Amino acid sequence: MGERAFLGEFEQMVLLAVLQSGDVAFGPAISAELEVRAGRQVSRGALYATLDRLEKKGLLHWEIEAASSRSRGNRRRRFSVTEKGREELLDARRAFDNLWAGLDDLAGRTVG
Amino acid sequence: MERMLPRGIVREDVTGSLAEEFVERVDVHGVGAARRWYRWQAAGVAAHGALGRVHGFTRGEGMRMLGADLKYAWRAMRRTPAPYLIASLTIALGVGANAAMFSVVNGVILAPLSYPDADRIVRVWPEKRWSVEMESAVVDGTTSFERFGTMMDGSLTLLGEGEPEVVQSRQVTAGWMEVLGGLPHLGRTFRPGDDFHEEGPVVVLSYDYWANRFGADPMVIGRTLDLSGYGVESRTVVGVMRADFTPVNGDPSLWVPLVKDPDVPGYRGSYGGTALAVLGPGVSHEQAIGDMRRLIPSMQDTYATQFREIRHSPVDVVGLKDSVIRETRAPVLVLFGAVTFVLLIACTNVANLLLARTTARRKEVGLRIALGAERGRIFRQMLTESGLLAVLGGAAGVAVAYLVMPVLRSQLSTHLPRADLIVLDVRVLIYALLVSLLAGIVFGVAPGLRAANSPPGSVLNEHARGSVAGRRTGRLNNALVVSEIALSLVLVVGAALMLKSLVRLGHVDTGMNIEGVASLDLLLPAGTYEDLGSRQALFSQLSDRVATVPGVEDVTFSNLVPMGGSWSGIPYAIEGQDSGAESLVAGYQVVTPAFFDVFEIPLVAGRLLLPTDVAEGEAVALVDRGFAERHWSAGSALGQVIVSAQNGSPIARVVGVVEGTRFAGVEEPPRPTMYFPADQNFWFVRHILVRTAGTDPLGVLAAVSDVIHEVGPNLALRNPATMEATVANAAGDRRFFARLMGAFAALALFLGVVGVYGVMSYAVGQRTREIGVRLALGATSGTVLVETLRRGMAPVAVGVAVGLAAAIAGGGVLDALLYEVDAADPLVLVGVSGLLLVTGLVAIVVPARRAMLLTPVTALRSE
Repeated sequence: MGERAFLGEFEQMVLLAVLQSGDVAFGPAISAELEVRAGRQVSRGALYATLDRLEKKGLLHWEIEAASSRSRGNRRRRFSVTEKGREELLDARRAFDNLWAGLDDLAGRTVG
Repeated sequence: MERMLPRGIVREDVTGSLAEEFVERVDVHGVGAARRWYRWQAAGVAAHGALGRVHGFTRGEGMRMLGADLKYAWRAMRRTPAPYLIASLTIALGVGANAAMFSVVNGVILAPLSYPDADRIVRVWPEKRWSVEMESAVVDGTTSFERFGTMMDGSLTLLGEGEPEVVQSRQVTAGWMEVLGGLPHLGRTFRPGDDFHEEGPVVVLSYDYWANRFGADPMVIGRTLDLSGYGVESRTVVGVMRADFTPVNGDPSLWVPLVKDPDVPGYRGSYGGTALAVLGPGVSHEQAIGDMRRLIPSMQDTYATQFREIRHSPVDVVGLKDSVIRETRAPVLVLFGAVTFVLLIACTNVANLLLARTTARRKEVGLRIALGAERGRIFRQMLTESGLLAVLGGAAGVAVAYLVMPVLRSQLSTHLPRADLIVLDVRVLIYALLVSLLAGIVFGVAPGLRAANSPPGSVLNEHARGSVAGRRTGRLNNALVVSEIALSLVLVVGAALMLKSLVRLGHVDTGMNIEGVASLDLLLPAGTYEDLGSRQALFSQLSDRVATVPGVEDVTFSNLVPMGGSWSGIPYAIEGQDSGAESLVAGYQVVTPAFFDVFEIPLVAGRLLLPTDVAEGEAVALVDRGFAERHWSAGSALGQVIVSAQNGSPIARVVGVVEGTRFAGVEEPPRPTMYFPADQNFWFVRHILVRTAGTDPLGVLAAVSDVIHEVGPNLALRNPATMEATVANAAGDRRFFARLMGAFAALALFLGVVGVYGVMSYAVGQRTREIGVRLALGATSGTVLVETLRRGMAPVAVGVAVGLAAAIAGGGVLDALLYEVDAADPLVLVGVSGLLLVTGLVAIVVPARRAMLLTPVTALRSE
């Protein structure tokens, strides 16, 4: 159930932020991306809950990085977007692009 | 919080990255901000983690599920509305009463006083012993108080504005107004110079008095009023207080300065004031008391009289709010406890109702379980249903509370301080919501568990009522009955004890006959009847004229109305007796000779007062039996001389001994008392008391008033009242609280009976098949009846025992509300237990009779 449902807005944002963070996609970096690029202040609780959910849906994958001094000796999870995650993101974008087609006027007016 | 997260790498990562960012934030925002951020984030993580772990779904899904549950619950209610309607009404009753009573607790006990720095305002004990000199000494000699003020009660007579009017007033120092921080609506309040009449005598009006008496005329400022009293005949209006200013102790119409200089007219050197102070920031009550104690030795000589008294009534400092609600806290909390009991009983009833519903719906539930519904899901569903029920009932309850609020407020305003603060505000609404939800959980858990634990097989196979489940049902039913009976019993015991107190009070021997006696306050305007001679002439003229009024049998004058709530005591000593360190105080009554006839107080020895005991004659006094026995035997009191406690100079010689009375009040034990002839002490006479014949004492009193006005047109009269009303008033609070408690107990008993009846009907319904089988096997209907009664009465008896134990253990709570009745009064306990057993029996007999009348055929067909 819900397999064909589109990604939620926040889920998209989190996936994109993971992609943007590249090879430093640890929790703090993802939250910083969301804050800087999307202007969204996100509580850690909501973020980790979403990350876990995306992982369960198979859109995210995480691997463990060994403890370092920066992380105060804790092992950390580095997140990356799975192939399925990329597809769903692109699906979502295509759907939006289709819906936006021919509405540039509206966009123009709104901005202007 | 961490523990709520799943173990292993996830927890490590989450806490690790939080720690990492914490370190970064310390550099940028500082330690405090970083710490706040960390706590906030950790709480968020824990909340999300906990949700995810317990339910295995996220918040969004949770909300959807709740929505579905609510819809399902709503449908279930629509399908069979009757039981849910009854349940809602029961909850509405419980929550409504509870919310209304909480609004009382909230307004009267919890809400802060409306003064600036209210939490630092204290009353300084000894109460009613302060003088302006002491205020000055404290202000100069201590450091604990930021502001300090003194107040004395009194009244003034307003002349020249129509009928002479007696106006409730307060004499206050400028400091008093500063302590309360009251602001003027017009003009100004008092300033230190007013304490010396620097600008002549002034007066500040209350907003209400200004609005009602002077038509809210702003030009009143600067006007001179013929306000006579406190040695002054007219005063200039300098201000009007704001409407929201709340005076301490009653509602005076105006304030005048309490003069500090003995050479200024209006100076009142006598002590009798109340002191109020604002503690300096951070100063504790103990520090202030210590400060006062250090000061007292240096004041001992100067204010010997005051401090002779203070020695025996220790200095204390009490928060103003505590002192305002001192007498109220106990009854209000007891009543609040009582409605909480009512609510619990209501909850029990609803739990039982829902249990019955659960049984009725066991097929539906069984089907869902068999189809794979999780038990947790079923439990949630049932709890959602009771939650919805609770919120609906609670909303109706708030509506009930809203409707009774005006009645409650007006009823309470004569019995409680701060009754105007009793409102349905946000706090009360939040409280009602929480109580409703809590109630929903309380009465929802049992049916929920029952439903969730039904084994799928047995539920679908409807005849398999397993013995285990049956026993569990029985235990739950019994528990419900036990708690209903126990809770009701505690309440009924409380009400019965309060009732017994009232009965006790009604039968107290006061030592005087008040039947047909009525009283009237009499005030002489200042500047009139200034010498004892003219007063004496006035009173003898009044006495003669009033005696001729039809219906008047006897007339007397006194300084106090007996049992009217006030009592005047003075320190004294006995000539030739060393009173040692003990300071002797006895009641000080000034009366005319007819007093003892009016109240029918018998003479024990010597003689009564005579018309010949006049100012020119020897100063004489009567004492009562208690006084005589304090020093001598009643017989040998005659001829003894009462002397001043300060300097030993003679006050009066004892010429007679009368029986003791409860002059100070019905509830007060008799106190040693002295009676002085009015002809020698007319200064103090303020009341006229008449014994009337016939059935209309107040009508006679009206005629008496007319006659008095004929004699002295400028005499002000106030408070016409029968003595019966005066005495009843004094016990009015007690009667009111007892009535409320009685109402709650009746409600509890009613709900309890309905509940026990419900449980028993349900139990009999459950056993219909079993009874049918037994009847078929040859049991007589008699044995069925006895068996049903026995099974029903067992938990009732246990409930009575539990309730008795609770009532005895918690009886101390009631002590403050009882009068000469032990909280464990055996008669009350036995009587109420009997009552509960009988009511329990009545509730059980109906369903038991139904069981008895069953025939095997109908019983077995019912399944």
